[in-house]
Amino acid sequence: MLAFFEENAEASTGVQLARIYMVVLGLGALLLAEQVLAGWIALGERINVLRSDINFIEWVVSLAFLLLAAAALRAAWSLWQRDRAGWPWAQWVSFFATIFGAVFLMKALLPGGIAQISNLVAPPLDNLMFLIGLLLFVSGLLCYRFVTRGVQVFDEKVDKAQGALSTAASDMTPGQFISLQLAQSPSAGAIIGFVFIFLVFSFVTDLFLQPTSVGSVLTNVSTKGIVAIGVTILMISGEFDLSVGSMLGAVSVFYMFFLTEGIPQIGLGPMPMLLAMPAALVVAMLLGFINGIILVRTGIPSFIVTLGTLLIYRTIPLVAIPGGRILRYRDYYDEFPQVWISPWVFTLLALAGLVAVAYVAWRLLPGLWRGLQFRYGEIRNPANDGHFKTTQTIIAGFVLLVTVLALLIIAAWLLMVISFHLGRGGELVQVGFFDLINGRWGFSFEQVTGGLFSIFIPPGANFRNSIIWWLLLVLLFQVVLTQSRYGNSVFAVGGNPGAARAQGINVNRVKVMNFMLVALLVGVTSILEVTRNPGVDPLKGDGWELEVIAMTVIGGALLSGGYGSVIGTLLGALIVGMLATGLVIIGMNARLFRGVVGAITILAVVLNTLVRRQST
Amino acid sequence: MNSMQNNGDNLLEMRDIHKYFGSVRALRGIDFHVDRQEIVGLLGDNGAGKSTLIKVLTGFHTPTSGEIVFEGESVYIDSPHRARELGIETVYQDLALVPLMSIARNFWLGQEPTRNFGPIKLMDQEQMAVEAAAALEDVGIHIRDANEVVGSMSGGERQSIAIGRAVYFGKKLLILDEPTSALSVGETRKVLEYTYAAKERGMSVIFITHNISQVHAVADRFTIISRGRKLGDFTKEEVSEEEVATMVMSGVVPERLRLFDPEAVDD
Repeated sequence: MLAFFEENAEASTGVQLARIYMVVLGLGALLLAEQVLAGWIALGERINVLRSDINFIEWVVSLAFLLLAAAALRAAWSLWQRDRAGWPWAQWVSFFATIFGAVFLMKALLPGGIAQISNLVAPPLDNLMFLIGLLLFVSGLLCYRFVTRGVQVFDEKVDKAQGALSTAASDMTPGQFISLQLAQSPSAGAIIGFVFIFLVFSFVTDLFLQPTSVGSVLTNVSTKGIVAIGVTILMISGEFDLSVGSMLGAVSVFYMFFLTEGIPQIGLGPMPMLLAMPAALVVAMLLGFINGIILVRTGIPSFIVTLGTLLIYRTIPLVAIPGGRILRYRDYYDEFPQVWISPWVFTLLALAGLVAVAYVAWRLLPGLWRGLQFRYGEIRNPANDGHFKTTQTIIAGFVLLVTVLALLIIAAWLLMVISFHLGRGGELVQVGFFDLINGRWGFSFEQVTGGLFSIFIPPGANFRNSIIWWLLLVLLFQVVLTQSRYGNSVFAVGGNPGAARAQGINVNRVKVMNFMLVALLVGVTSILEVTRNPGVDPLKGDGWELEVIAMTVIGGALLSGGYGSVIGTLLGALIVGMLATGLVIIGMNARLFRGVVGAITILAVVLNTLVRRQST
Repeated sequence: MNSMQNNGDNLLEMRDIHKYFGSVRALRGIDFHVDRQEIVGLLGDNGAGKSTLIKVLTGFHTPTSGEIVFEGESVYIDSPHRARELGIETVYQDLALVPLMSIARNFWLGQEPTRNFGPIKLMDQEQMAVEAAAALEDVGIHIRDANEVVGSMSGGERQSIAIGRAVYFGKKLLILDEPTSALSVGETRKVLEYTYAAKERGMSVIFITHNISQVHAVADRFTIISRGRKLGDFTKEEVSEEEVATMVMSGVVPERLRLFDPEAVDD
């Protein structure tokens, strides 16, 4: 097949087939996109809807098919021109054709299967969807096998001549690219699990991709996710913390008392709202310090230490709130605290946000653009005899596009917030203090965003600020863990304490710091949880520790330390959250939840281990 | 013979070191020295006290009595951190590197170069990778990719990287604790080459082992320890490999080299 690239060579049957396949696929994809846009093929929820109304899913699907059609015709053009870049293009097109086919097959087959498990009435098999799916899947897979086999043979020849690693020297097939990325990532199992579970729920039920479900997943999981960030970093340094749930209960009670009656026994009155928050965080860090100092002073395993403090810390809320009742903010005050803030404060904050966005763009975009140009130049460079970098170019272009879009959306939103507040003149904004911390989007928090959240979010959906805090903290600690010197020492302490000590790292100090970091994040979560539904019950956080550790382990962190990532834990948390909401939506018994999470935990760790073993 | 030169050329001198653990006398008055640019083989059977001596030197233990002189100054080494500050680097067989971290990150561990974004300091990953590769190349160690994980490398490669790191950071004394006992013949030769390269660049090396054949090629001098006492210092010229091996095993110095009778002086 490679002879095909030489001038005057005859195209083999396979090459002829690949050319024809690309043309047929391109035209077929165009036809499908047209059919969906015209409303003849209905997707998503189509009850009581006019045929001419295109819903979100149909927009996405038709756009995807238009892109596929464009790429397929591009590949066909290259193959006819005897342009080497035709092969990577053909690889990508057949790769995505296979995936689209699999998606259609899932869409056609899954709902019936799930309905049988959960005793619902199975919908009839969608024959058209099944047929399209099967055709795309089989033809895409065959073409992908053919095209990649030829290119891999070619790469092996070049590799032997140059003695280089194939992934470094030449272009990768989409399959190679994805498996390499997965092998390099600590969270391979979590990524695969996330995509799979997301797809299954999205296809099985139309209710899953609704704002109400998405909001419930994100809001429910955000506070646990914040705790899981800390637990992940602690686990990377080789320890873990069973006491987070009890700590959450204890700190919540302290925060509640600071806000309301103070602690009269030690002569502490109620605190101002702004002071109660740092005070609660200090209490939390003290609890974490106790964990850490017991661990390093006695050398007892963290399992035992934190099992002890799990029981000890739980007694604080149990004793402080007698009778097991729920302590409500309303028991003390009729009204939730209100604050009046000048609109200029929000304008300035949004402006600062704009500056930050501009700074990020200024730091990131030139590098991404240069990378894209470089890789595109590599495709065109005749000196790279046969070493196309099409895969890298496509990925680089995609990353650049997504970055630009994300930055533009954030900037546009900030501009809208600014214009909203400028439009108010000097009128003070009245907003509930608790809403400011963990308010529900579209309710009283609209006073801050100018109702801009409710453009996207219908009234029933439960999105809260805790989602934003969660994502910001994930971003922050991902950078700390992977880019800072402290992060490096955390990995070293967990991976090989002896080596870390030999390089002058104070192992005990890092461990105590990490226990305090967990506690700090538990403190943040306590504040968010108390302000969400102002009040606290003595069993707040009961059972969180195991769920949070499950999220961390699903996310790829090793219990033995030295390995893991905060992004993985984010995915782990989302997996647990999707299961909690999704199982209810598809009508399975909600009591199965814990069992399913347990099974997923084991599966994810098995996947992670397999991928890691392959990469080293 | 028992060359107790106090001529200021010494990099390190340990005088009359005693170390007792309760009633156990691990070290019973050991004198030990290392000259500049010298490779010393520290030999002794298991339990002879060579590890204890090195742990005293590297700050894991403080001596019960005795004095340590480093570069002509009396020093008190009470922590591994202090030993590091002085320029004493130890390469343990299993404790040299963190297997799940990349070569570059291991290389710079504890002293990573940073780029500053205002008050925020982030590691300069590109500089880390480029400089680590260049520094290792300088000692003759070729690596494919500084971002490769150490866990996928062989034992010899790991030792080499640790040695290259010590050379790069200008350490003065390199301690290799049983560096070659788990390595193949080829890898052992490589590690010995790097050890020699380290000496060429001005370092002194203490090579701890109980297997004389491994160090005989590179060591300038042997110090043999038996049951907490020093049997003697022997330059490579004055003893044969077999004689050293016999001394390590039996704890008895041959007549012609004998300065004192260890049994007679036993307190």
